[in-house]
Amino acid sequence: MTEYFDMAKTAIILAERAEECQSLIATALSLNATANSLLWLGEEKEVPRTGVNEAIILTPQTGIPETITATITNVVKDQGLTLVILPTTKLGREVAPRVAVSLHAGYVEGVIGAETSSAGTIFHRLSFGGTVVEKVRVRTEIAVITAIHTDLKTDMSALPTTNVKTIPTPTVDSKKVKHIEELPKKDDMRSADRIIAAGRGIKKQQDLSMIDNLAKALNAKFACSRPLVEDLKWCPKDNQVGLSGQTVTPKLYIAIGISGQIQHTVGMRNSKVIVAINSDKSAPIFQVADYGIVGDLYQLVPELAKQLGKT
Amino acid sequence: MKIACLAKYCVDPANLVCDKATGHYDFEGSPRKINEVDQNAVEEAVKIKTTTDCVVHIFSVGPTEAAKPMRELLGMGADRAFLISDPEVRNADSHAIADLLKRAIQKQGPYDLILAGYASEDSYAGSVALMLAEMLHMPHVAYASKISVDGQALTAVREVDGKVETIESKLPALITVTRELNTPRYVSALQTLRVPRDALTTLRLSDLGETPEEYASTCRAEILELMTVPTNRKNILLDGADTATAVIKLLDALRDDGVL
Repeated sequence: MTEYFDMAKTAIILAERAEECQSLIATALSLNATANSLLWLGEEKEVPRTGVNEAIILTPQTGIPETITATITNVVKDQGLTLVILPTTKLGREVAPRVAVSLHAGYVEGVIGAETSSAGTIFHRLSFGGTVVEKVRVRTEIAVITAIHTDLKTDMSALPTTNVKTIPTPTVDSKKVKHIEELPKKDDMRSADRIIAAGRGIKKQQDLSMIDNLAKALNAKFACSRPLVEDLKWCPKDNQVGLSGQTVTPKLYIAIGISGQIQHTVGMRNSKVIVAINSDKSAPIFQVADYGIVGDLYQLVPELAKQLGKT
Repeated sequence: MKIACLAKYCVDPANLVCDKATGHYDFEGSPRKINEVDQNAVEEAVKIKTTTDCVVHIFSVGPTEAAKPMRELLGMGADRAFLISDPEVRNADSHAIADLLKRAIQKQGPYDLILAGYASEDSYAGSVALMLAEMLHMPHVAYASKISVDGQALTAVREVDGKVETIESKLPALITVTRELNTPRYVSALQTLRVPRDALTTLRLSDLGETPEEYASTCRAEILELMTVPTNRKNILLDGADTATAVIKLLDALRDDGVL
């Protein structure tokens, strides 16, 4: 009979920031696991003082996934832990598959929750850019997961006091970070209250000024879908919303001439109110919209700007 | 020099077939295609081939129908392709796929460089290539947007968390690439037709020295069910007699919702 991974375990988490750490502790608790160890990759002075039994700081600080993999593997083996929870970030997604192989563990990426069953834990993960939930069971004693950031609040003061220790980073001689360049701060759409997004329905690059005018009238940020960045090269990458761009959650999101492929909708589907303007009434964008207008954007956008100007 | 590229014949997320009554997706019944960003990996390998003396091989695990799009990838200028296809390969998780690729790559290799897209468009876990790197004890660079290979070493540029990192690694190494890396060349039907028949080899489990039972034991996670994520949207279509009326209705609704 196959043994399945079951909950009520002790976990190691990896975090770079305090709120990420809190989110992962909440995830561990929701999985009936206690967060025993924290591998901290943030600023040394910001290491959380409560929430986990021990925080491990690697010195010198490196972000090389191979060394992080080796460290997590050692801690899990030394302490007999059975659950590894990493954030669903570029770093977490890069480290977790290696850790899973190293620990002979089953891996589930993008976990949003779990349920218990008579045959072990069933993890829920997002797939297809967030439109599909896969129910996954792990057939190993140890499970490695990346968790999607949750806003679940945990009373950190009620949790154990953290014992902080530093350990030397395992060395890797095959690879080194030669140069790091900080990019200028991006035009951050993630904090915007209103976003106007343009897509393939725009016929010419100069027509984007029409969308820009509407954005100004609404005091909104301008965004766009992938084709305008990657195929037509009309807009900078910073404005791209979707799977390969940014994820945004404004109060109002107006999608103009965007068909609504999963690639795009995953980046905006949690906005409070979604409006779609598209000439094709069968466009999938209308399925994720609160309000839709089927029509010519070249008439609707100026009309919107005009009426907003009146009020 | 030998380069291996990994390609996934993935479910096309733009054309997923869904049973509206049950909310369940029909993966088997949905159309498939080669994962777009894996084409960027093949393009890069073929570019390296123009300046360096090397061979480019492509590896994939998939159904026999994947042979046709694999030939299109060969048309880009790769030398050989290996399609691991066996009726016993069912319910594979990322570990099982990585294990099959490892066996094929060890059999055909060793390779100096392994290239793959950073994630697939369907499951988007981005895990198979990195698992393979760990299995082969190779360093990796993920999310590369620039690559240069020089003799026994490579330099790759990647963007993470508002920083651009330049990374040097010894070979052999594995790199996952993004779409910014290059623009995959267009392959005409004629170029695909010109691909030699024997450039594509289908590998069975037995060719990889594995029994169906051994294969099954490499599957560590099993998908029990696929569900649509429910959306709680109003789905109100505002069709007025004219543009102005539709816009008035929209602005009224947005004011009522308190977002204007």
